[in-house]
Amino acid sequence: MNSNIPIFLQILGLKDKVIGMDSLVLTKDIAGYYPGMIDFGKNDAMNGEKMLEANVKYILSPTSMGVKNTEALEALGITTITVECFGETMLNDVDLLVKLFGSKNEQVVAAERYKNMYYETVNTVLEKAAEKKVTDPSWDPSFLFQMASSRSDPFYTETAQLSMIVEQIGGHNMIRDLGGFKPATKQTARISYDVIVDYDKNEGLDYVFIRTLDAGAEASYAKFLSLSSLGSWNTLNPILDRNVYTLDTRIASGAMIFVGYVCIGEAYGLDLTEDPSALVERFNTEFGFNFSSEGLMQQFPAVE
Amino acid sequence: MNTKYLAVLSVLVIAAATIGGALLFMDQNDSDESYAIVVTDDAGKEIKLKEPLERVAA
Repeated sequence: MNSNIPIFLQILGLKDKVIGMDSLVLTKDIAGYYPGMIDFGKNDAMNGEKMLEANVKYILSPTSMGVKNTEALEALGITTITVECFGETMLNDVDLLVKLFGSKNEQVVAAERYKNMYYETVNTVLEKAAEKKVTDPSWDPSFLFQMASSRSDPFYTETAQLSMIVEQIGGHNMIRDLGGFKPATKQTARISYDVIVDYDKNEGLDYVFIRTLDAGAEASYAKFLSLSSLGSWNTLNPILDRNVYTLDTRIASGAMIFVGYVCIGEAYGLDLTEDPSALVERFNTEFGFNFSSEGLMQQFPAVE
Repeated sequence: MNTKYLAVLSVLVIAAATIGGALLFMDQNDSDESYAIVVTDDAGKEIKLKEPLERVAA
């Protein structure tokens, strides 16, 4: 599974309700906040007998990387509850978790604290973006958004959540303009180097965003450059203009996505006073985390 | 006592018991009011709980 559900359970003060996790989550940083967890096995073959021994009758799971053997578990009387905790259902999921655990005052208050932090930040970015559109109605930057961890289809289409967030702030995903992808039914797509270079020459590509690998920003940028086996990217406008930005995967999805809004706003040159690092520090303080506030967004090519 | 009256009374008692039993059965099995929590998860599945979650896997 992924880290989003455990992160939100900690935000809501519900971590003591979690008895165990799947093997993959136990390898993630979030497991450090949950000592003494029982390992219930891999997400595609979670160990129902072990859960019954621990008196666990419910699993909270996202769809992607979530529990796969739900029917076998159901036969044992163990119910899988799907809670994504990211994307467009994320804020509703906060309320869903509160209800599932009895709508106690402590959880209701924590949910409000989180949502206030989220809306306060996101609304500021969107207001500044709206102001920019008023002063410059022609402002409609094109962008390409790479998911560095994807091998087969490395670019987000306009139906992907991250692309929708960037478009919500301003501009449009260049994939919208590529006829072959309409209507985009998948959230990611493969586009050749030639297509990107041709688009840049004919339409003008303004920005490249890259959701980073765990290996970090430099490795993620290097992976973007490696997509070209035919030639150099040096003539690409976003590279000439230093408009390539890596976005740390921690703020590209899930609970800290509101920090991602600020970073994208900064990349777009919006007049923002919010400091992404300070927002992460505030999130840490409010909800008891210790996430690094460094390297949230980096601009490439780096200045030599 | 009048036999006809007794027969009618017996039928009424049986009918009342049957209807009452059916209502009780419905109350125990179908009514959301018997659950403390009824929500729909992100997969569209209705989750009915008699008490809040206590021990979960995540």
